[in-house]
Amino acid sequence: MDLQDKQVGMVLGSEDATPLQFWFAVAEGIKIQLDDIVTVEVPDPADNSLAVKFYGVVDEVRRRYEGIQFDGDTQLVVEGLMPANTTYAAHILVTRVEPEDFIPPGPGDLVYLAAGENLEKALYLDNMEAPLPAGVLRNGEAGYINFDFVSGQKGAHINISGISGIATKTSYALFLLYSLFRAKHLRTGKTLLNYPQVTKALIFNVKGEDLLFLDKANRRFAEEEGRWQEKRKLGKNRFEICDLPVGPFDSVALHAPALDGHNLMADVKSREGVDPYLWTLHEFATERMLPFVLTERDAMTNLGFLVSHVEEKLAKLAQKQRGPHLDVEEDDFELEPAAQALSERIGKEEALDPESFLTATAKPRLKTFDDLVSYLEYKLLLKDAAEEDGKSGGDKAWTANQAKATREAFIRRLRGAAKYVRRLIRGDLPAKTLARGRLDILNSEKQVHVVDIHQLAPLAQMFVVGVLLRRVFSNKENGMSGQVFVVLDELNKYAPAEGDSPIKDVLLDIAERGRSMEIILIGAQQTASEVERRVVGNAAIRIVGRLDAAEAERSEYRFMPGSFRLRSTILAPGTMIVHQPDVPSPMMLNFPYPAWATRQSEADETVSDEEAMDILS
Amino acid sequence: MRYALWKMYLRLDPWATEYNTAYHAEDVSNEAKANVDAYFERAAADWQAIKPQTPNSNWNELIFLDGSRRVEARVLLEDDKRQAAFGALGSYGVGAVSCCPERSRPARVLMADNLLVTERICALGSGQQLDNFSVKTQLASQLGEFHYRVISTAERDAEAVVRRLQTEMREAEKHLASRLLNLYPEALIICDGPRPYLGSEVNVIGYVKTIHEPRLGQRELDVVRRLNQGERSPIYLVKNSKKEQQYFEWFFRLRDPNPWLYSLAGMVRLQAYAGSEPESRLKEVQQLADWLAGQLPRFASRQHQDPRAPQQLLPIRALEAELSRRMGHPQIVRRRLTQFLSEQGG
Repeated sequence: MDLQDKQVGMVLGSEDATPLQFWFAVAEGIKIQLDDIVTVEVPDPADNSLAVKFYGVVDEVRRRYEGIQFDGDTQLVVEGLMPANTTYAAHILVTRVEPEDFIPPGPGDLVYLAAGENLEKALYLDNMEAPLPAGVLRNGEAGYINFDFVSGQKGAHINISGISGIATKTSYALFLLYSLFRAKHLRTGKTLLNYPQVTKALIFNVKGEDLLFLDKANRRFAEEEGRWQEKRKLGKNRFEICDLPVGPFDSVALHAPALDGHNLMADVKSREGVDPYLWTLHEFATERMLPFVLTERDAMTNLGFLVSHVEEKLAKLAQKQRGPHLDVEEDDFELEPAAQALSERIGKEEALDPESFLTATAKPRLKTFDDLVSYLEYKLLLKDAAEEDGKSGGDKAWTANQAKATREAFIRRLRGAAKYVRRLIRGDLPAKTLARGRLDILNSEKQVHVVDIHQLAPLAQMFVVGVLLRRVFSNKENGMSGQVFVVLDELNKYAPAEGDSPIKDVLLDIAERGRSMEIILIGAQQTASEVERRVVGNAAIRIVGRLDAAEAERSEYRFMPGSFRLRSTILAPGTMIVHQPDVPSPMMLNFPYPAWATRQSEADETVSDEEAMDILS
Repeated sequence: MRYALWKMYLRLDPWATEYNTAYHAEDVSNEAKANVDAYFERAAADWQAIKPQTPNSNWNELIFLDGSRRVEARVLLEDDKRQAAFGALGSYGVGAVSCCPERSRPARVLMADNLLVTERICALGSGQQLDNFSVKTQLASQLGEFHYRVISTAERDAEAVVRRLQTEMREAEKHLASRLLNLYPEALIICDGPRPYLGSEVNVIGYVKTIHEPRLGQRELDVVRRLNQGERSPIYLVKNSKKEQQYFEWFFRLRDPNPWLYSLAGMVRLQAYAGSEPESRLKEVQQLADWLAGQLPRFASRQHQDPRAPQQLLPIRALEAELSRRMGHPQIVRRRLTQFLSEQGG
């Protein structure tokens, strides 16, 4: 028995004690609260020289008057008219039994508060090859996630559920990410990552410009964290408890969608140094992005078939070209006047570029997404359209024998999508300019990439997320090394429980095969019940912040015992329930106030004396 | 109500039927009535209900004392040839609850100094005796060991052994009362049941829930029947040839009875020491009676709280539950006894 272990009570004899849960009477003058961790040593009934040790966590505490009969008796006891005993009992969920003899604890067996080695055993820390600090337990000690279940070694992916605004899902995901990059192994002192140099993080920023300040220190950190320390009367802040350095993220690259216009500026308001991103028309064709601009794809319908066919045709068309635009060989195809005017204007400027001047021909050239849509309309509907039988018209090689209505529906959808994605898919700028907008995360020197999509329309968001994830996925398929951690909120939008879409396919691929390919999804959503079951189900680590009461009752949250589900409806911001495969009972963790700025006002712009001296000298 | 003089009403006894009734009207011999000096406090003309004014509190601790007993098994002492005697295996417990008249402390069952006593008794009739014995088992799962003390009565009938057990409990109550007097000299001790013969201390009161043998005349009884809540009758003296055993007694209404209840419902008798010089003690007992009139209704139980409401006082109700808990679950005790007797052979 560890010296620090304090006796706190004895197993109750008036309630059933089972190997998996039991009640204990809390001793006089002892405070026991939810999440306290205890141990009980139970003598082997067959051989008193042996003992079975139980580790468990308090998931319910209660006090009541004992020996009274009616509700009204409480008043009588308080008035001193009647004697009664106050009982204080705590319910334990057993997390570990050693050795694995599942006998019930005996009434009267002594219960101790776990500390030190016992605490580590109760939380299975001794079994963790690589414990990842994941926050602070209620007793003020660090709580750990088994990194082997994050890294893909034994399992992968993290899933976080909770009400927006209160559950602090993104903040916690970022803390975990920070911990991933910065944590030191408890025993070896080395980083937990296998290839720290080539490990990347891809974070999608879906709300405000909140995540565009990750690389700046948070000026409110000291004050807010100090307040917590004061309340808990602790000498260390939560980063220190987790043995993590305090500071902003390192090696951060920020990306925002490119603005319209020729200068290729990033569409951000509050932050400088943000790279714009977009794709060229040529990439659009060669990398087969067409399905991602169509919100829904029904693979089994004719439309789905047509999309695949056109996608193939476009890829072939682009194969021999260099981009960024697409040249087409059609005699009677002309761009619509408006589109043409735009093309011409751009063409004139482009004429200054000798390379493009040389390649400039009389062939029609697709420079914008709208050009592409016009061209597809021509190929699918207008070419040689004479008869009105609904079947003729269009290039037979492109129409894939689909009915006119299907082809029209396809074009209609493309036109609908054009207004959202035209700024993201362009061929109207010089190749060099457009190359600046190329988002190539795996080949980048930076480690943490924040891709801002918050200003984009939902369809464009889907496009960006889908295309980026697929690019990462195919890069990894082609054998690029290093882990990629993807942080994506609003999974319910990208991989909804109902329906089918190309981006859902990508996410399913990541969920199901990402573990072996070292792509780790840190996904979040308000309601896990609205997300594709396989995406949530494949996450080894499940995390819950504040939940809606109705949501907490759904089967998706059955991994938590009832008392935790109930508590999830009253969690304060900053507190999470973390469940991992090799620890049977969830942990309640508190994570630190971010040391990085989460909005402009928090970005610390003050310059220290030393820094000032550096600059001056 | 023109016919009221002739009309008779059925009126309810509020106690649960298994407790019999609080009122045992028996024909009282003239001799017993002669033993009562009804006019000790008030003369016949002045024999009216007394509504005490709230007196200054002179007791800062109230201790309720009670005992509880039960028979867990009836036995017969016999050999191969004959049945020698009736017997009973039972338990009793006695204890006390301390309450604060000022309501500034919670009520508590007095546990320290072994003030809470339970004992297991084997009572035998017909003067038979046996050695004390223990009931224990070899099984580790059967916790606890019962030690039986054997006591005896010369009486021969089957109920005699139960009466003997009762006597034993009364003795234990008396013993407890005298210990309490030493330990808590400043407290007022209210014994559930008739006041034990303890000596001359004024601070031991008998609290009698049942009303046997009304020893007053019809006129006085009419006054008693019309007592309102918190009112008491004048104090009368119950005389005894042994002067030391003389005591005062008075009626007290704990709670207004509903009109459909019989007229003595919610009535108790209180007893206090009188001794050989009752005159010298009267004033003290009057003060006590007046003070208690202010205190006791607070402790009275209500119909839903106890089958013997309101006479069963709340602290006593809780104490009885505690005592019964300490005597053990009666069925477990009985099974253990069955097992024990079966292992005795014979």
